[in-house]
Amino acid sequence: MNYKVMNYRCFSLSIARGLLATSATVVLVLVGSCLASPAALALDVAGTVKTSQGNVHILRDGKSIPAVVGAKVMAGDVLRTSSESSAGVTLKDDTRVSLVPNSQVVLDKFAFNANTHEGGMFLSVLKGTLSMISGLLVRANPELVRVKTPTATIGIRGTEFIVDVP
Amino acid sequence: MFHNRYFAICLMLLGLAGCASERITLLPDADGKVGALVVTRDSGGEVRLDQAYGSARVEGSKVEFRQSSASEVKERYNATLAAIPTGTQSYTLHFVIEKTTLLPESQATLKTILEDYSKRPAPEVIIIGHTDKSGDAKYNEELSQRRASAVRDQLVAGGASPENIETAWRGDREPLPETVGKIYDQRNRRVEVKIR
Repeated sequence: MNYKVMNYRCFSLSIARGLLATSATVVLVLVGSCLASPAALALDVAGTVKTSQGNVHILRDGKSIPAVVGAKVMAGDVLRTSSESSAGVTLKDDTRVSLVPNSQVVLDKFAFNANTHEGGMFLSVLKGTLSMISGLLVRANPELVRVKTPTATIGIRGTEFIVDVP
Repeated sequence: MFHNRYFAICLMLLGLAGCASERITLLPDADGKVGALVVTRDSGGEVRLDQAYGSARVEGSKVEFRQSSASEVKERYNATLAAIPTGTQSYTLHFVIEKTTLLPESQATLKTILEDYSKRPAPEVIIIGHTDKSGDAKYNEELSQRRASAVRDQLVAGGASPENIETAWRGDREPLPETVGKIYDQRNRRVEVKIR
């Protein structure tokens, strides 16, 4: 349903923004209701904000949290940059991502066992530009790491790439 | 069916809001190595990228390969590449047999770790202690824990914040691959330190 909503993103910039916000909520609700082990997994820290310029926020449980350097990122979080803002996050498996101005990304799922390197990641780029340098999860379980755009899915065998969603 | 509608809307509004394509571009990593991506359009079509600066363009009705270049990527994506955090760095410290005392050259490495730590925003340190296979397993668990703690204490003494440090230990359970079968081996009397 959320992808259907997103497919209409060509209407106009302002309407698209509203729709994207809606779809982000839908994604959150879906993740919240689909995860088998609820609170413990969802509350685990997935990563840390390492670079943050301008106006960067984490949307979690309907609240907006400033994504300052040192802020923790959790599975289910939406990361959003405003104009003239950027952010960089390092996840627990050493995956590194960055966002340019006017970007919105959802870390739908993230699980990583530091001892066994088991786990997986699902991340959606709703709009803007994300660059990623993959980490231990891709090395150990490449088939369990996916990046989603509004119209496509990216399977990752390493290592560094850019996803640009207008 | 809604894809046709989507395409029609795109045509209608082309020039108004524009219907630029999504672009996925594969880059060489810091060592020049190139990985691979498979870009699958939800409603059909797939492009595999395995060359540096290969790019997939996903539009309303198709996904296509385009060859991009270093200069194009630099021009278009400089800001996003500049915001990527510094990569994780790993260090290995070595110990005197049976002890939590660092070998002299590892004292120098400890200084390097502290310098690295001080340069990173919101640094995270992961310390993992190990032993060689001499002695019994239970003793080695405990020795590897003491080695990890000794390193943590020295990092804290050098200015690192305890809440940024995680310690773990493996006893003699994870010898280096090149030492398998050996009981006494200096290379396994070690603590691994990762900073990110």
